[in-house]
Amino acid sequence: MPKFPGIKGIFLDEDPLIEQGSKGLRGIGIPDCGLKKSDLKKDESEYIDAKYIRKSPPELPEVSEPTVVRHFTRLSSWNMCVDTVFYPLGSCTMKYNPKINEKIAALENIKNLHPLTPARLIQPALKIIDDFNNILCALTGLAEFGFAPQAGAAGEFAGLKIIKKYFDLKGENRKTILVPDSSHGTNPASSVLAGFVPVEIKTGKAGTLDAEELEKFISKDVAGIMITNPNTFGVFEKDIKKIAEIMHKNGSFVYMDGANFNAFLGSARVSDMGIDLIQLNLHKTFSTPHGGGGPGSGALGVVESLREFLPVPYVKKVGGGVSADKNLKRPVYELSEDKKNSIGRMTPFLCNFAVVLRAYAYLLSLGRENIGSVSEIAVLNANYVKKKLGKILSGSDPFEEGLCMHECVFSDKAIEESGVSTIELAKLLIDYGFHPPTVYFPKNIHGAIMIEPTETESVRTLDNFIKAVKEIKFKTKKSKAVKSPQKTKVGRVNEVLANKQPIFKY
Amino acid sequence: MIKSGSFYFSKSHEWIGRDSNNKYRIGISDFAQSELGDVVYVSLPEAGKAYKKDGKIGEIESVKSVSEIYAPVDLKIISVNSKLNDTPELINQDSNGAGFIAEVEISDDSGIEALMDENAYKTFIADSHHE
Amino acid sequence: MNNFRYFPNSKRDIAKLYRILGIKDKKELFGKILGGIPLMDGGILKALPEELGEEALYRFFLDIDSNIPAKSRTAVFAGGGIYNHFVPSAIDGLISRSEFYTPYTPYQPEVSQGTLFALFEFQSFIAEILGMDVVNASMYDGAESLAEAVLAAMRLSSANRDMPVSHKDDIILISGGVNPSYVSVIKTFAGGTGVKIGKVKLDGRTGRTDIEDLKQKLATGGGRVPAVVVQQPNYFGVIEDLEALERPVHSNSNSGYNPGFIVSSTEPYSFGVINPPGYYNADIFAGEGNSFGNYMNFGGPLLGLFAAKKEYVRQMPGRIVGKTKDGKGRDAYAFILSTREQHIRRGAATSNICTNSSLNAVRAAIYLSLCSKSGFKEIASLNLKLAHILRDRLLSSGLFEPLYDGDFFNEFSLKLKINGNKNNNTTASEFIEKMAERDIIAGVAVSESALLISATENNRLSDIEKYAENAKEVLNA
Repeated sequence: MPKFPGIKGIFLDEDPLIEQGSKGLRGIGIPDCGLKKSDLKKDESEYIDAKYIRKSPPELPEVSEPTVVRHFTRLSSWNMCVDTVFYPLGSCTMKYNPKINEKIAALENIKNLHPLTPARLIQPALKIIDDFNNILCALTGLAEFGFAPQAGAAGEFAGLKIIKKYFDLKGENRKTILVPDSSHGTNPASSVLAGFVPVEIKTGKAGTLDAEELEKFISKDVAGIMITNPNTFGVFEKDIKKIAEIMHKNGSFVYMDGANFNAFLGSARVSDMGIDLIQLNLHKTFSTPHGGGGPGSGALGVVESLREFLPVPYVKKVGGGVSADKNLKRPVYELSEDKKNSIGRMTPFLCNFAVVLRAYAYLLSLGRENIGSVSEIAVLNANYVKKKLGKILSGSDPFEEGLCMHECVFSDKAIEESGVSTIELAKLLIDYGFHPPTVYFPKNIHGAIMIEPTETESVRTLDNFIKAVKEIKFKTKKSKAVKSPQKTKVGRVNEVLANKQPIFKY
Repeated sequence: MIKSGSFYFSKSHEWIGRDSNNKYRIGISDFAQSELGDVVYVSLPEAGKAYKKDGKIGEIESVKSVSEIYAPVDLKIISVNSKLNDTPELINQDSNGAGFIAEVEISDDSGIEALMDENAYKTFIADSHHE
Repeated sequence: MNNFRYFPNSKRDIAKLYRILGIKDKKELFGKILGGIPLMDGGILKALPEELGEEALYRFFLDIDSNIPAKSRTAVFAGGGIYNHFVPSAIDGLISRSEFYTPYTPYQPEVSQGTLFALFEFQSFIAEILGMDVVNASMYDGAESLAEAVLAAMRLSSANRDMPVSHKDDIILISGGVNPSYVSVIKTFAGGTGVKIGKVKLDGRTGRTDIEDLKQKLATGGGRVPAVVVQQPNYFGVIEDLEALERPVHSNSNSGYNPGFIVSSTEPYSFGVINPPGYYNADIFAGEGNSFGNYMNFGGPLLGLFAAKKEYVRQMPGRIVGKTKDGKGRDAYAFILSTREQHIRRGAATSNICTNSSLNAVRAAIYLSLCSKSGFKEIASLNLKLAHILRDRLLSSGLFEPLYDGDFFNEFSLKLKINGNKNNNTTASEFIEKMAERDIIAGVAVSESALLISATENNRLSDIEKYAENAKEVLNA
């Protein structure tokens, strides 16, 4: 095996498809659907008023199927991905996406199921949602999950809307949501969207929130706090129970951004930390693929008192369980809108079903036997990187003393001394054959480098990555750093030009 | 009356100065532009509008950051530097000259006198940089 | 004990990690980190199912798959916001490449040129289909996209373009022809601002938005109007006269501000036959793109489309890919205008969206490439014809009557005829239930007695015959 995976290769260039066309070509077969030739020939104006009819069709490329296949296959080869490289993007949980999940999501009848098919005919599909809900409740200790949120940020928005509605119904006009300054940008953005004013709280050296500091912000205007746990430094919020107590005493809620839930999966429940609401990013913790930016799912879990606020529609289980009445023994699943205080609808149908399906398959694969190993190995791997890299990047670990959880963060102190900036480290790593870590986030660490290895990487891969960072730190010349990456399809992209004179389409 | 050709600075890094034609102009400091990096877009204030000191009058964007522009004193916008719409890089090239933000009207100089002069601003930057 | 197959660290590796960290076991590890928070024990874990081997897992889902309506024998005529279009195999083949489906959002452009280029082509194709200037790299779904469009229009109507805390004096006028689920989602999103939602009537005969009612509400609607929202074709399948609607919207100077003209659609395939919203001076288009190369997937994930006039680009939500150069002058692609987004502007961002529907957008790009210029138009035309043949056939059976008589594309609404005591006053829902037992998903109920019916290139003439014959049996029984 070569020392590092990034060696050399051939990149195949590819023109925009629109330039590869030839008049009349196409890559799709069109059925006649049994229509008579005379009907097929009829002009559209025989059906609808000519004033509506589009005179010139959209200028799409005119290309055959092989041309399209080669085009997009070549494009795909310009991407780094989880299946080709170590992808330690902090806070993104780039774990392996099991192939069996894709096969299941591709089952013919499931993928072709119309969402408004009568419920009686799709009981097994509805049951999936209910069963998965039960699993998530067991893993978090919460009372119920709503699956309408299509991604993490949508889950945050739904959770905050619930808090808003709760106080509206109580006749209290609380406007403030507390947000630590180390939080993800979606937190304040979701707060504003839900009608709140986010107020930033300064965090300590390791991004942790101090209960005493929090007390200063408490007033009857505070509706809740959004807290990422483990925080964006990968550090567990040690004061979490105290924080929850302070909030609850004030009649406020604790919303946990569950983006980092991989640190707890199968090992600890958020109910034991005093959390009232959490969104679980199924495309992070539950192995569903990120798809180059989406789709995802941000299932929202709540405590008992907030169940009636969840979005509609939802899957309602009627009957079943231990009932003396025979007719009730077999449960029936309905698509229901009967949630008294629901914040309403978030999506045209039920949920991102194909994403939930994969997540459910993932949990069934692991089972109770293996689920706890996910967080255990994720935490071990991250601490291994923290310890080993901490020696190479001495003085750069803002949280040197303690243990991290699923990810670790370094400042640029040590690499700066070698004349390498964080962005250069990121780009240099690419040439070694690694995807860069998350960089320049969280913002309160200078030149932050945030590494999340996940449980699906081996010690051998981690050692290789650490070796690459070491080489960069001790052997890289500035002249090479500014030019990197050099082995990619394109070099450093001119983002100033891209933003000054934006080109949005062909 | 303040001297023409000299600049007075706010803590949020805007300047106000008087040019040789006795017109007042505002802009952002050279230090501010160097911290921002390549300016790619400027959202300019509205001509004719009056702003209070420290009121938000516009925004400057680089590729990955946004900075707000605040009024250094109570002022009214006479006209804006519309060249910035197509060539925002003027701010990087000449923040005190061709990269000015707007021409403004002020009622009197008292607001300006409360600002930092060039030397005081230099010290201010040096101090805040060490923090 | 062996490792679980997704974990590449052996038991020995794990022991080594513990040794290096100077920690004995999991209990100590989590104990040190979590302090007083208990580790989940066997009792709690017992609520979880036991692990399933890969083969057993596959059989488990295969069983589910075989107990829902089978693609092989079910004729789907339901639309209502999602349509049963054909998906060419080349899309599945290409999208199953790990390089497309396993990366994250392309924040590092040098190693993401494939996704970025594909999204750029997606934006180009959609802009062409809609006749709009700028298209973003996708939203969650049509409804969320439309809700964000309303919020964008509200910002554009505000003096400093920030979102004021309160829009109590504003009213958004929404056509009665907009999908009711979409209206619900708009309410969820815009609810916090205090903005009022006003409904513009449909003409009782044609099913098109009533222009006179729109004019009247613009004049005296009870507030300033930041936006007027219509859907093309509308929820009932009827093609709206966008030209006639646009005029009063853009010449309304109620409170000195012209409302934004927002056009939505759940079936942009229609723009293969009819004029797109961009031809009628739409300010924003926000709708659903699932029809382009994506499966119905029981309603999600979907593909939100968002497009706007160039001058509104800085108020657009979501990511946008732009074309640029690298250091050597080669064409390159990157996200642009990121300062609009939450990861930079935080609370002042144009939206909280981060993860979107990127992979669905790439599917759409592949699909539209395969269709090509001629195929897209021909398939659209085929939809139009099949739907008209189906409607004629059902009306000639004497069991149905039209709900509206306006022109339509591939979807229309019919009422079940009260035919003496012959149909026993079967409701639309009952009719759909009974037809479903006969492997026909007959449509979507829109009222007690009316249903929405659609036809696509996935339906054959013989399916139409089957629909008509079974309807006769069901309704005459």
